Amino acid sequence: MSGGEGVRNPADLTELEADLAAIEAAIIIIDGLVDTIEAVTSALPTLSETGGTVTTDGTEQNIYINNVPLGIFNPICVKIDCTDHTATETIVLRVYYRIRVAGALILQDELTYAGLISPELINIDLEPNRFGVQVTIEKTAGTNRDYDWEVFYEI
Amino acid sequence: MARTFYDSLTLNDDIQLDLSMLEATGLITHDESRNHSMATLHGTILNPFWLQTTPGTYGLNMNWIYPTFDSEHYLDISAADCTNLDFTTTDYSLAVWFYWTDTGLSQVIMGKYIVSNCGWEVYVTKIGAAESVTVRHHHSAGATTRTGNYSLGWVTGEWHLFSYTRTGTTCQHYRDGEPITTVSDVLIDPESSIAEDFRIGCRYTEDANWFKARFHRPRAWSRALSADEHRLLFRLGYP
Repeated sequence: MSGGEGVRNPADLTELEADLAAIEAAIIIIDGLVDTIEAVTSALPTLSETGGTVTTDGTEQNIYINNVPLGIFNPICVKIDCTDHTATETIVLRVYYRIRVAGALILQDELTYAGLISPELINIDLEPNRFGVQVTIEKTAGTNRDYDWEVFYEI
Repeated sequence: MARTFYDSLTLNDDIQLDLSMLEATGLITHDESRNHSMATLHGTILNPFWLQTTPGTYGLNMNWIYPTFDSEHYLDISAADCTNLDFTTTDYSLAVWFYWTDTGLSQVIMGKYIVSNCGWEVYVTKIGAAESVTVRHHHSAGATTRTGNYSLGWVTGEWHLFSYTRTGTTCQHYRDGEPITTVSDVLIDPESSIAEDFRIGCRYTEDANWFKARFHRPRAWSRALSADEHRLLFRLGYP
């Protein structure tokens, strides 16, 4: 084996160590940036949806409730399908908000629907909230019926 | 205002159940996946108790008065409303936050199954110092009635995120978003449990193996989540 320009002292890692230190410093900065980006993206609201079916029973029943939100969020609307509702039924829809920590859910709006509902799909607009929101249904006359519903919110 | 959309988050691709537990009250909790599978709370003595897990985040406390009384707390989704959880040949993934207390018995976290017949279940057990989470597939035919897998280190009295992915005949358990040692049989596809309810917190017969625990946000996907997605599940939020 002959010596030449390509031969290095394998024990001399000074340059390599300097590079590693620079890389480690860069990684720390990048980690910080990633955490910052994650904090920002985690705070972006996500438009979500859920729903179900309520079968009325003559009591006031929850359609949608977020009793203790994580913080400020944006409930957008509740849609209620009244296709099964007939001329003999009466329902009352109510919207409540809680506007202070540990306060009560306070009635803001109440709507009564007696007899046939047309068009069959009811939309209830909702407003920004921090401490709680609730939409209820109560059958006050007629037969118990199924009401499909869905809610949209940014959270 | 900038926003994201639930269905456009890659993590939510093929999500089949997401009980986000935003209600924080009442006897029904709703599903944010497109399946709208409503889970109903049950109990013979009182009901599962809504509790704050961290500021602004709620979960349920099950069988909290045990051992004074066996309060038989559980949740279920009717079979007709959980057909998308009938995992047989498909890969699937699961996730749930929980904080459990040992009762000396196996405790079913969740499942859609009949023992040694069909479906899948997840349960937690403490035997000696070994605190394990097990996932089992149930089979109705052949010499093997169950194939399963487990991981250790699921200590009582602490919140942890259990998540899981089944890929073909293999699987991987994750704790708090990180892969952990998983001991597994060669998994056989579970037989269809389409006629069974999905239950959280009890045996399929709804009469034993009560889950004495607090839990938050059970989720299920009809696909294998990647390791990065499991890590993301944890980073997205302590319960």
